[in-house]
Amino acid sequence: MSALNSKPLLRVNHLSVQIGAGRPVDDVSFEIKPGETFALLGESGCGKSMTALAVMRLLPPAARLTAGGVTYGDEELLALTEAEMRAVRGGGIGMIFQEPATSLNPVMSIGRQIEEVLDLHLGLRGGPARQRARELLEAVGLPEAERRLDEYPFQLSGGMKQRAMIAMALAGEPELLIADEPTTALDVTLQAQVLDLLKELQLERGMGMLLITHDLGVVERMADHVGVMYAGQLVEVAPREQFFANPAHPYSRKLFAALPERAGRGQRLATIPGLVPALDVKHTGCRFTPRCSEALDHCGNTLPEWFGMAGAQQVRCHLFDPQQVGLNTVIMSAPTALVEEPRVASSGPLLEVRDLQVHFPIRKGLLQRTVGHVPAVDGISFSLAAGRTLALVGESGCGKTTAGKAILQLIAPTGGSVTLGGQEITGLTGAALQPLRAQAQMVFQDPFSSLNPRLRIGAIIAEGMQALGQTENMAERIAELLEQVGLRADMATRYPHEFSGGQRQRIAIARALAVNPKLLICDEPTSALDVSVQAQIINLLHDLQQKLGLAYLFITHNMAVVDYLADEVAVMYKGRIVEYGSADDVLAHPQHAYTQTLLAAAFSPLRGAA
Amino acid sequence: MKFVLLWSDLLFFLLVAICIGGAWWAYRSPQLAASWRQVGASRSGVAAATVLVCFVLVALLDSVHYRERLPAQPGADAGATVQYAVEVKSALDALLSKQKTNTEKTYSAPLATHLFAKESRADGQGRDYPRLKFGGSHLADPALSEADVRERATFGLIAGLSIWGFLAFVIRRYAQPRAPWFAWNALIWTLAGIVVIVSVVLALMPYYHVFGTDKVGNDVLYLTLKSIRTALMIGTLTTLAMLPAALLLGILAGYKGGWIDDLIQYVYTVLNSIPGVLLIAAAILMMQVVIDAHPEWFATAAERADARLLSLCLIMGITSWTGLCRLLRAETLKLRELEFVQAARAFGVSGFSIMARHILPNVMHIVMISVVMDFSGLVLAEAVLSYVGIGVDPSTISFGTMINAARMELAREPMVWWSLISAFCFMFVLVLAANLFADVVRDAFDPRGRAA
Repeated sequence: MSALNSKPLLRVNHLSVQIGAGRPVDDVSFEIKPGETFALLGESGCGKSMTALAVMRLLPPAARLTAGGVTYGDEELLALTEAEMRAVRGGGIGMIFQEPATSLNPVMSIGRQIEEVLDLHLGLRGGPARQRARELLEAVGLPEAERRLDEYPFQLSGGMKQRAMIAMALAGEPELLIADEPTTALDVTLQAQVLDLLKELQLERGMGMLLITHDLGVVERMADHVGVMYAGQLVEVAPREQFFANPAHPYSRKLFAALPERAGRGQRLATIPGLVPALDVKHTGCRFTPRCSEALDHCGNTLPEWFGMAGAQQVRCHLFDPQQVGLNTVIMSAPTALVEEPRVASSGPLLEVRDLQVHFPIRKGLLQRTVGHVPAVDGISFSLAAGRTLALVGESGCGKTTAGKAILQLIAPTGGSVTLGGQEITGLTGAALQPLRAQAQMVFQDPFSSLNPRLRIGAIIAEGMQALGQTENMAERIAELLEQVGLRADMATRYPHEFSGGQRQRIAIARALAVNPKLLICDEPTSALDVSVQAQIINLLHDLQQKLGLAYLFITHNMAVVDYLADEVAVMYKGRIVEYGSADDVLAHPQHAYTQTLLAAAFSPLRGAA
Repeated sequence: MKFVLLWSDLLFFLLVAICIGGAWWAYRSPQLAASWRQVGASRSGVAAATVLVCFVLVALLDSVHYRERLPAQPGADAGATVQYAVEVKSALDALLSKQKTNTEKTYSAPLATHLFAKESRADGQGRDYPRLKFGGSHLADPALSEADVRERATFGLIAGLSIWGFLAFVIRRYAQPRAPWFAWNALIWTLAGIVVIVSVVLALMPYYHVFGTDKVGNDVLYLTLKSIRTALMIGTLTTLAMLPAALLLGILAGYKGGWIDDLIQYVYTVLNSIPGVLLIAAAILMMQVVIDAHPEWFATAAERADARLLSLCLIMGITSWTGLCRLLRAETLKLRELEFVQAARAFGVSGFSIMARHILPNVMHIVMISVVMDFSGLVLAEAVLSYVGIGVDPSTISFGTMINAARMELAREPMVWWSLISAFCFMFVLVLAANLFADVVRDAFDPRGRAA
């Protein structure tokens, strides 16, 4: 960028935030120049959002700023009064939040909400304000801007809401935009659009941007500089090219290695053992030590300094200490190959779906007469053989979850047929369905709502066995299942709240496996998890398939996971399958326009960097 | 002596047993125990609970009923059947027998030695305030009563403080080290208030009507203490009556949906649209007719009054389940879509087990909160209903009947204030304690509150 030599717009100096005994933000320093994007990268719970909130002085009441400073232009933000700070928020620094659905006021029209900002920061009111609001909506690419001004948030789709939110953030003409996971809640195709829009607007206005994300793909597309955060500390700062060419810190490298991608098929994904430490833990040495495969003896008790590398890249790791020559060439241990056993040759398809339809009735009037139908799933057909993986891909709202539930008869299909192991199961109810329940099970998306918080793990896993009458040796079977999914047998007596997201997903998998199913329908099983945990779950699913010969119907929107796992792919769009074929064909030579958009929008950072 | 178990006693004991059982169960379940710990660590929660426990103890004492054995008739042989008194007494009556039996002629002020109204003197020499039969009768010279009261109160105060000091020492020494998270300070200070007040009252009680007497000369302190049982009965038994309906219908409507949901919604919408007092009045009057038409059902007047109390609880329960039912339906609608319910359905678990295993435990916090919140409302509702004349049996002592009897005297000059004020104070303390406790319970159990 041309502004490289100008003075920084925002300078964060040794910023620390304290909550109780822990430090969710510890000694963080970086600067952002006008027109430049600084990306804060890291998993959830690493203190990225807390850093942004500290910059805006919007910390929750329990958190205190204990050290450091934030300079915006020539002003020291931490020294301003609350009234002066309000002028900076929205005026100087704008902010976009993760969830567009909850960051707009549902009872105010879009126009009013934008005009409010204009009034506050520019003193614009009435006609000129409306005029400006319309221009802003046009600038963020919202079609029919004039009409949208009078609409309410519920009338807009998710992507449109995020655009409106961006228009609001831009209304105060900020010089710096803080975007906190701006695209995480959006579909892949929308993500790409919103990111392009942000980039365009930034070029136009010369804004600085602090981008907070956990997604390497987003960083690759947007950032000029990257700061990797781990457990409250920046561990690596580098210009983007250098970071992607040569990530230095073991944590950064692990993040790359944990990404599933086509090239790595048949190889185990690298995982980071353990979890991000809790916020209230006190640290002495490098915080990554317990999960680091390269940890040295003194890593645990001495906090590493910043060590400079080539260019502007800096890393906080003892491995790069120039006094310990020779260590900085350590190469990560090569990924271990998965044991690829010959696939079970199957006699025929395990699951056969023909013209499956699910229509939701629209009821109206006093007597609730059905006046029409919403075709959620509109005649889809595919088949799946034992031991194979079929990925059902599509954006949210295309009916893929509904299709999954209809196959399990959790939602009654309106038409079509589902054959499982040669037996027709549509229309079966009650006891007739029981034997088939044992053959097909489901793993759900959100590990936090898929386990009953009031039951012990043992009871959760036992539920299916009891319901289906497989009650022999139940205690031993539960212990075996827990070990099979990588947990300890004695965890059966604990309650779900004691487990992390990844562990809960393992429990959910154990529950599904308890009745020895042949088919597992996985509904976005990794989308609520962090990258490193996602890798663990994908490895687990892969191992289980090898060992038990399971067939997976993998419902997802994550193309990288599809690339890595699927044998066959069915692309779903508005309730129909628009493309269906082997993974190699569909992903390499997409025929349908929608598949092409989907693939273009899904960006794999490694593919881009290579 | 023959013990009498009234229906309301049985239900009340059952309820207390359920509470104790529930506490034990909660102690075993780590999640519930954690929530209760939060209640135990809260100062206002512990203080409110201490006050509530005192009220419950009084009510329990008042729920142990018996009939006294009458002295054998002179001349009857030893083998004759034993005769029992018609009157049913409670353990509380026995403890307060002096207050119960020593009635005056009419109103007397708290701690007074003379009646409140002038009467013609026995010797025909004009009108004067006559001496009370009981209050201050141990004094030769009634003018000394003030000094006597002060002396006895001081004694009570000192005794109370020393008892409290001992209790505080025991708690600090033995209980606190075992559970340092518990808000022992709140317990100790609440006990200070209770012990001191109780011992001062105890010191004065044998010689005076501490809270005065009412129109027919009954001791107001006695009436107030007897009212506690009625208030607690109404507050708890009504809940017991409404809970099954609210739980079953609320969860059923939310989980099943469709026409079942429509039907249940129509029922509670209709029920809610009928003015509550009218419905209760009509039901109570019908009940009254039934009770009066069948005198043979009841052996004693106490049993009849008890039947009327129970029917009041039942009727109030029938009209008050709709609120909780609505809440439970809404929560179930939300839970039904959660993935753990879907997972259970994928295993073919029956609808009934899903409701019992997955939904019921996850709505218990709402039940807990609304039960404790409703309690105070019901106690107040009884007072209002008795005031309108459709509450408990006139022979049942309750805050409502006390207030109803005292209301006319507010216009009198000088005012007779003590009946009303004592009923007011006791009810206020009871309802305040219940509300404070409900607040703390809600904070501890409401998952939304925990996130904040």
